[in-house]
Amino acid sequence: MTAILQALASGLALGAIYGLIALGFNITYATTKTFNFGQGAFLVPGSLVGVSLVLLSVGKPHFGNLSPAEMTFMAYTLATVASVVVVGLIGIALYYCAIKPFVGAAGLNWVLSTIGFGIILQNTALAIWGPASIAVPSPLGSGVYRIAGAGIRPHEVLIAAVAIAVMVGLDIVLRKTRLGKALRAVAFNPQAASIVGINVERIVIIAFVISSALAGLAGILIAPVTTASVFIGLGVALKAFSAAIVGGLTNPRGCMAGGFLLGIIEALVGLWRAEFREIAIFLLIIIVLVIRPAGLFGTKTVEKI
Amino acid sequence: MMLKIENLNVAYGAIQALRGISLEVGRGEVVTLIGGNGAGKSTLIRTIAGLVHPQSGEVIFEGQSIAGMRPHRAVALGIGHSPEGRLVFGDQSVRDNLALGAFSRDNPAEIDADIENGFRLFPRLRERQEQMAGTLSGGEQQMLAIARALMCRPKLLLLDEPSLGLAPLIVREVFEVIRSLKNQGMTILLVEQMANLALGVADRAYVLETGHITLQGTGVDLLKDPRVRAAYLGA
Repeated sequence: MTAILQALASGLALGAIYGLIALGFNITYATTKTFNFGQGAFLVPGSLVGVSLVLLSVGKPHFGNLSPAEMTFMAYTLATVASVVVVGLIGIALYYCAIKPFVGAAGLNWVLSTIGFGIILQNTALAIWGPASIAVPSPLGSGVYRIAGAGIRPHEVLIAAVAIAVMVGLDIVLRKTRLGKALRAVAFNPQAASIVGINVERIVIIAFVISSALAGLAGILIAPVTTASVFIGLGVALKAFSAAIVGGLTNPRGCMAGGFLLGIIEALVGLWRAEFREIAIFLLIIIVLVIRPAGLFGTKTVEKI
Repeated sequence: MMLKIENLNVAYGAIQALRGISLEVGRGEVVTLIGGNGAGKSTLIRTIAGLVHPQSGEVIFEGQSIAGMRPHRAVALGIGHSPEGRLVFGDQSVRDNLALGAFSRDNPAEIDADIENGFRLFPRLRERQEQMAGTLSGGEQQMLAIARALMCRPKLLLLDEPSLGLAPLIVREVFEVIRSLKNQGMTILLVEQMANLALGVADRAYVLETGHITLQGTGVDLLKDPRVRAAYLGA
């Protein structure tokens, strides 16, 4: 029982990470019918930029290791802001290099161009930081909370709390604000959006900035769990992509739900037999897609001309 | 002249949609463009709105060339557009659709006042203001599309096939509103397949056939013209 509770907590944190990235897929897919296949690589600067900033601020080289005392809550907060901003800005470059030339055109060139952009980004990071991983202490320390006998790591709680807050915040932005309504208008029909005076390209760029910033946030949030390195990201992004597909790529809430579902299943199956985790998850994905091709919460889109 | 189009050529790939079109719309005038399916009526509207880029020719709005300008810029200049097929935002409420129509404007109090004006023009939209636009009937969606186009406080209102797919009673209702907009001094370029209605409300009219303007005159004159009667009025 305590083991299950423990696994649920880990699953919730992991699922929150998947959900954040999946939400990023949703936002650009809704507005452009494209998304960043290289999203995994965006977690890399997400984890490394913020951590290096903290390292530099305590007078260490940018690829050293941090002691727990150096990772104060304030340092981690600033690292998070820096990562989100930097990776968000990389999203603008992504749009101009890998999306704009191909969006709206027939074919799948954007798939390759976004993968390519991700590989370039990852190898640039490799040149800056090298292949070694950086151990990142959690600002909440390495102790565990005891809840009903289960040991729960405070950083997992932090991940889940931040991710859920961001998801709820984005949900409110999408539903209530002028920007959110404009985003949804572009998603509904870009041409209709343009004739009411919305600058569609600007909205699309904002969508890619949000999507990238979410990946950056995922990178810095997960760094204390996985370490920060050039090689985090790919596996996580693949699961997040699966979460988006299972939840429904067209539905932001579905994407978040898909993330949590995958994270929790992964943790619970891992409790039983770790080597069955991936098998169970991808089997589940295939079954869901057979039964509900648009995902659990997705709506079948009808392409109108 | 509010709008002046000179020798406009537009093609979709190999298909020439407009061939050397010239027309004018004066301030406060209601001008209609009639013609059959595929004559190029919508293409002309879409070119003015910035959705289609012309090959050559000029589109001059209030003395400024706007050919090839992006659509949101045209809206900011004061060109409101109720498109063919309405294109209301189906997953947003009627009120939010209207608010989006004012996207090029900033003053929330003025925008709210204009939403009220829209409701006064189309009382049915007031009843349905919290409803998703996608759940409206075709006629209500058309009213919403026109009300939304008015939300940018247009100097020129482009109306593309407002009668399309609507029951006769609703069509009459929509045209009553067009007439009342005219009486308020709105400048309108109206594209319409129902030639009798369009000519009835228009000051002047152009007949478009396979990308050419073949006839022009006052609405009243064209209503009487035997060629128009034979081709478009079923007489």
